Amino acid sequence: MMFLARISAGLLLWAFGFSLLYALHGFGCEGGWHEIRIAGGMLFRWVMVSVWVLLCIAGLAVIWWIRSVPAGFERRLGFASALVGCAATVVTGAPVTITSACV
Amino acid sequence: MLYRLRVTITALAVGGCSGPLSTLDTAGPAAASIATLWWAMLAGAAVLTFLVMTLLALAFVRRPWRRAGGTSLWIGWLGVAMPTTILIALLGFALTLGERIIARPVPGVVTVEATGHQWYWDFRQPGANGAIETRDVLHIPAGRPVDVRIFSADVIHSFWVPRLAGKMDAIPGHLNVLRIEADWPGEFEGRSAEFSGAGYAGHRFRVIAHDEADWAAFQLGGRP
Repeated sequence: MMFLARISAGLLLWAFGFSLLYALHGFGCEGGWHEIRIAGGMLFRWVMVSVWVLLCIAGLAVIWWIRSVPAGFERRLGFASALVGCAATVVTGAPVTITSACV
Repeated sequence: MLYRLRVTITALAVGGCSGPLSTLDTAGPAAASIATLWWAMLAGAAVLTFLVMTLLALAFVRRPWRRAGGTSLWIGWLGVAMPTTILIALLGFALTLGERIIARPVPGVVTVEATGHQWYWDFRQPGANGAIETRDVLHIPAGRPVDVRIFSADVIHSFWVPRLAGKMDAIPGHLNVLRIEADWPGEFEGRSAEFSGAGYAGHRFRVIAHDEADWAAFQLGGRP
């Protein structure tokens, strides 16, 4: 069970994070978060960017966690999965920082 | 036989390059942006396809020089780095174009309402003597941005005038706004791009773009 968890953790985190950002986008627009100003920006933007940054940090944490696995096939596979998952989280979430919201 | 094959392939390849529903024969700025993205994606896909086919061909040639470079070249650079670079470039290009065609407030914009029904479209817009309503024909001024406020009266439809702009869904209980613009006066075909039941095949409409004089006459009720 731990084997499966380690080799899929990075990609599962990306899948969870992408779904979370997608859901928050819908909730935020419906809830009018883009009309609430906080600290010079939209509440919508703050929430989306904060969640994305947290997801990126979680991706790095997964990479760090996999590094503690003893050397071997499981570690190599888990490391590759964690790297791909973290990179995918960075790339697919990055548009929340600059793209227009709720138009 | 080979001649017929060449003619058939050529006809199929260029068949979508023009015509009333062609996304490549553009007549407006939004459609032109989308066509540009399509050509960029075609170029990216062609590069990747060429690379994959080349590698596939090389796999059948057993020569010692193929070993040069090892896994870092074949998997790292050509298998991961190059497709990733191309896909990220295309993603950035798509996002930039997407931002450009958003219906932002601009001076001179005309606003019309489009309501999808099974299986016709009702259009409503302000005129000089009150609201003007038309069915299956949308009148717009040429050379001016037009925001289409899209509704649905029953099921999900999709408003699409391929030569003028992209698609936008008509969703019951929800308003979507699509900006279209025709660069010159003329008639453009549109259709619903979302299957909506038995009469879907005939769910088409026309967009007539008027020059300044005709548009003024239409506004006065001269061409309902």
